[in-house]
Amino acid sequence: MAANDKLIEIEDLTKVFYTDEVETHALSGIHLTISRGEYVAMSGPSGCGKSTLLSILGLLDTPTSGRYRLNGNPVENLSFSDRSRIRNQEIGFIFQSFNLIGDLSVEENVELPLTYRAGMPSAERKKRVKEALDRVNMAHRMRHFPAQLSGGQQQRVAVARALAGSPSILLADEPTGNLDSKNGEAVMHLLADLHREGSTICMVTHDPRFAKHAQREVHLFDGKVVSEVELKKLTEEVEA
Amino acid sequence: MTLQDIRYALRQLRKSPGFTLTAVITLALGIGANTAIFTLVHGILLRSLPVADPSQLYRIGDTDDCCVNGGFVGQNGDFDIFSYDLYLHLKNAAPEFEQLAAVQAGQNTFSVRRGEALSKSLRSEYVSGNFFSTLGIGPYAGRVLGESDDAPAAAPVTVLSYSAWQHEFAADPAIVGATISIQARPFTVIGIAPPGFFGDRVTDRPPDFWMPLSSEPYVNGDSAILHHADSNWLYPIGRVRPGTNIAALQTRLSAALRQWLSTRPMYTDNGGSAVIPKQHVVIVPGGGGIQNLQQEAGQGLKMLMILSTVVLLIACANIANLLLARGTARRADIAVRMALGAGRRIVIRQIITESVLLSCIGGLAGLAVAYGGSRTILALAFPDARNLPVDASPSLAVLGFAFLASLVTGVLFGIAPAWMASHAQPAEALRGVNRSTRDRSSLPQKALVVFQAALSLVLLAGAILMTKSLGKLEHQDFGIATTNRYVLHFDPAGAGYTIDRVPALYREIEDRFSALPGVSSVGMALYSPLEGDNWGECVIQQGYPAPGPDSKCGSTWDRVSTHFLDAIGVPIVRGRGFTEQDTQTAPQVVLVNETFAKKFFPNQDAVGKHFGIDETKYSGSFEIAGVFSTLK
Repeated sequence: MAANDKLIEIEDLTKVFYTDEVETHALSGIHLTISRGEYVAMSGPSGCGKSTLLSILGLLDTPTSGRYRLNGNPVENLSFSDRSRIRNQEIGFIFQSFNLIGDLSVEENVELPLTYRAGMPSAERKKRVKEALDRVNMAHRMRHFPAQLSGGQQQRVAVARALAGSPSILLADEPTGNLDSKNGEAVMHLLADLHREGSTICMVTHDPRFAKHAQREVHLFDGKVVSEVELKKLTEEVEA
Repeated sequence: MTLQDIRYALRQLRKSPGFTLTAVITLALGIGANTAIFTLVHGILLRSLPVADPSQLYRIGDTDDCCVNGGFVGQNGDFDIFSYDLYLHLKNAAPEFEQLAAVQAGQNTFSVRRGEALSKSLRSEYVSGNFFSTLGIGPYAGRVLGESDDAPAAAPVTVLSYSAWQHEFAADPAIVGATISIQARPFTVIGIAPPGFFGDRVTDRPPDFWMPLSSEPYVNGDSAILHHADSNWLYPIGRVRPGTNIAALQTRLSAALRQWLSTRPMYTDNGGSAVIPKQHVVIVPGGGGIQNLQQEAGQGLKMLMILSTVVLLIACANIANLLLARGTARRADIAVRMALGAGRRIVIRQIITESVLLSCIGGLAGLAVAYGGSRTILALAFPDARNLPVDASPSLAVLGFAFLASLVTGVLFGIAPAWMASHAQPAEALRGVNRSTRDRSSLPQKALVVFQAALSLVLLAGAILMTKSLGKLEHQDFGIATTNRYVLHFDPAGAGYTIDRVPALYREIEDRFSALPGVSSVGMALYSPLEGDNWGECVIQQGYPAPGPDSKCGSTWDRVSTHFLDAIGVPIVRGRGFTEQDTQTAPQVVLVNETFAKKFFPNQDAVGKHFGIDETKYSGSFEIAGVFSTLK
């Protein structure tokens, strides 16, 4: 793997939460690399640090110690505003509970992260919104509000919102957690399609059925990476 | 602020109608109260006269010494009111004034009659012939007064105000050129002033017509003061030439004043020469006109402005608290926005957009409150006002103020919620707000409650104190009985009565009113109590040296009928009251109040003592026949 293929490089990363004299070590000495175009699943039991790691990967939170390079640039000590800017340009989020803004229409929700980009003309934003919604087959619901959509439709809109900004990586946190199995499968197929089209995806899941869609599964336990499995290779071996 | 911010903010407000309505009503009251007071501040304190280039106008004199005075005024030597002779002297000494007009300090209510119609009581003001040209005011119809109208031999003429023409003469165009009777003397109406022009000052009863100074002797006859060089009754106001050094002009006019005073025995006698050097004039901008009402109402208006600002601050704290409480519910949205890349500035902008929008809606509603409020205040403050030149309708300046107040208010109550929102944790988008490690909103909320309570306490204390003061003022003992007492005003001169016919008229009035069923007592006076008008003189006690210029010899007097004190329930405490024997031909007796007796005849029985006015040789003119209980 060439050095410039590495999108995310994490070394010896720790995260400690301090609450009322109690120290909680959420992550301890994490080493992780994600390459461009890779589809990684992070799994593990509840409380193992999956979401904390995803927060740090998505620059939503900062590590207590360790190094984090995104696109080759160190990002662990960035200011709040720099993290906001990079988050907006490089990272697309897909949340478990969709996190669409109820008072904005589908179109406005998808457009929202683009409005935070200085200098992007309105016409360009509209074009990207249309493309993203087309990609998830939700263009016909542009004028609707989230409350008028089913859970599966809302998650597809959330995917479109994550895609609209053409991010370097999609971070998905239990994207099927609030969906029934049928809609869950549909979203997983959508993510698989996106990966095939070249997107880099890092997904947190505790469901092994969905983890198998990824190329690699990183298993966390007690804030540590306890195993990494190349799933595609394994699948191919089983099939052979 | 983007269109999307506004759209989103509107949706937020629509989504919570209860909150929005509460906030809008609160803001409407807060902004409305401030706008109402500003309407008055603008109309009374900040407004320029509706004349040409008001910034060029300057007044000689800076305070209200209305209406007719003689001698030195005040202890600081500040001369504010001038005789006609002194006005001419200053005018000649100040070529820097392109024009210098003189206007009557006080105004009169005169009986005006057209033809055989019933007479009307209208307000008049004597002005110099150059009054209109000084202010740059042309006629609406006919012509305005000119220098030639103010000459001793000029025909008596008058100019009507537009309002008087509309309301008192039914907008009859034939009034121009017609003869009307003013105080039973014929005057020709030569013109009508333009609409909106209310004269040289903001007052609750602007003049209905203007007459040249030269007509004052024609109207007042023997009691005219135009040619009494020591009777001060005029305010000079003029238009200075561009580039004039006002400070230098003031110095030179002060010198001219002192020079003139030193030629007048009234000012030089009895040690007066010693205080002439400190006499001076102050020249002040006259664009706002004669500032009597401004000086009278200024403090009150400033106090009201402070109080209404406190009300607005309380409203701000209240709404900020509501927004903070709502902010807790909106933290998830904010966290998502921040997770998607919204910086703190964007979040602050969004919250401030919402609060400014809310305050602008409140401001719009506040305009209605302001209109009603200012109308009510004007009606309460000036119950007898006629043609009050202060409009309660929102002007451009008032609209601007309301908009600015709304903006500032919106920012003010939006700051705390915006600040709190901007410090939301983007990670909450992932882990959920319920798993947040700390809640930052409670401290500012508590602080706002404390702030609100403190301001409310201040306001409440102020309101209680003010209510108590008003109560005391309303129920203070004036020393007279007011129950079942009624005051009627007669103007015999206006009805054409000459001085020799007046005593018989008064007797007849007293007799006929006394004969009415239910009337137990009738008294007559030149000025009724609590009216605010009176005459003042320097009292010279018999056997004492003439009082000097700094002596506190002033006392007010009123001319009353025999039963006047009975009629107002004021008892005689020593000596006697007036009797039917106190006629014009009998020795001149007076009644003094207890305060007068203590002041001028301390530790003595004032009854039987003599005093006079003007000069020492007249100090035996009046004998004190009795002392009555002091009334206000």
